[in-house]
Amino acid sequence: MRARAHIAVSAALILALPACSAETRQQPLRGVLTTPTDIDLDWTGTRPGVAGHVLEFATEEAGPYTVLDHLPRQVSTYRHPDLMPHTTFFYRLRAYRGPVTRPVRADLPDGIRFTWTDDSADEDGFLLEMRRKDSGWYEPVAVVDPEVTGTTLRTLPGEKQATFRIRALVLGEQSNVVRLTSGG
Amino acid sequence: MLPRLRALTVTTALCATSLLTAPHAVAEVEPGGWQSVSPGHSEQERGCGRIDGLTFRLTCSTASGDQRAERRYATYTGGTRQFEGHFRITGLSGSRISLKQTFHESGSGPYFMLAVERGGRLYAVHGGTTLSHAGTVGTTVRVNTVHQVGAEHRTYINGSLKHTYASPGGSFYDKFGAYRTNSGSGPATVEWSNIRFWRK
Repeated sequence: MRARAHIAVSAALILALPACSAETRQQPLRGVLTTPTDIDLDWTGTRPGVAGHVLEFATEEAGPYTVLDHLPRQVSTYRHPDLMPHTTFFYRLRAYRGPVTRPVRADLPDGIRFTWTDDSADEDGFLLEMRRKDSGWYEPVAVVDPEVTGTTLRTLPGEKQATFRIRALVLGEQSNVVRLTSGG
Repeated sequence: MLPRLRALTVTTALCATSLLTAPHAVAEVEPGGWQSVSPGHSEQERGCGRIDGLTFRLTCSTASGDQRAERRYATYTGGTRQFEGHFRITGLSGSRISLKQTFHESGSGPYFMLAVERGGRLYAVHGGTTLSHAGTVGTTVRVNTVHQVGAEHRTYINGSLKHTYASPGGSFYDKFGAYRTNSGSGPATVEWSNIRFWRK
């Protein structure tokens, strides 16, 4: 059984590498080793027009980085749980923007087929966003490649009653990089 | 509740010059003392399985027989071994396709199998435990397995421990690719990348 005892949050556990630019310094990403194997991240500074953030991690400074999640602008915290012990983790955040449109929808027995028109010249991809019946905002559920104009979502119970939209995804500024080492 | 992302293919780039020029960190995943190794491998194509570099395809929907496209790595018999790789499912019209195996060569065979269901659920074939829902079409997923022969086998998905399994002794080997499980069928296309191995 791995130790799960909470440890005191210490400034010494927070290390942010130098930011890329003055712009990224306005959007700091912070991380804390909350338990020996759990890292909590939070960020601030969302500016007008930012629709959300892409959170990535790596175990080597130069990568490869793996996307942990696409997070809507309403979300500014993330817990990376049950980590590999005694391992150094690097985190970075990338803002995204882009106009939204309503896709054409065709219901399938086990999902929904969406199609749309590509009116964007420089998108990094398209983001399918879903708003549940009881939710106040849209959350990302799928990203597809640039130039692609259709995707099929395999729905879970209740999702066929949700509302969907397509965002032409444009990646923006990158945050500072946070480096933390797990215990064990 | 954080949102689930079904598929993502976004690429990003480092912008910090200081990061690009920094010394390359030594990989250390789980407690240190790891030695990077490069075990040899062979390729296995059976039935409608096809391999093109690190792209593994099952081109048929046949729900029986031997349908596989895999890399089989060299046998090991002791110590602690670590596998790391990233996979991205680019097509999955079928379901229940095994992606990575730790094979008990001197024992009962496929001792640990990581598989995916249509919709993105990653699970352990033996026992059916859900490991993650990150395995959807278009999503890049990082897998680490740490195998202490005769003690324990641990599986990490995107850096988080998701499965722990007692391990017998004997001889084992790693396999990855696309393999039809007993209850599964293709078609499926899986792209693997950044494959690495360590031992200690």
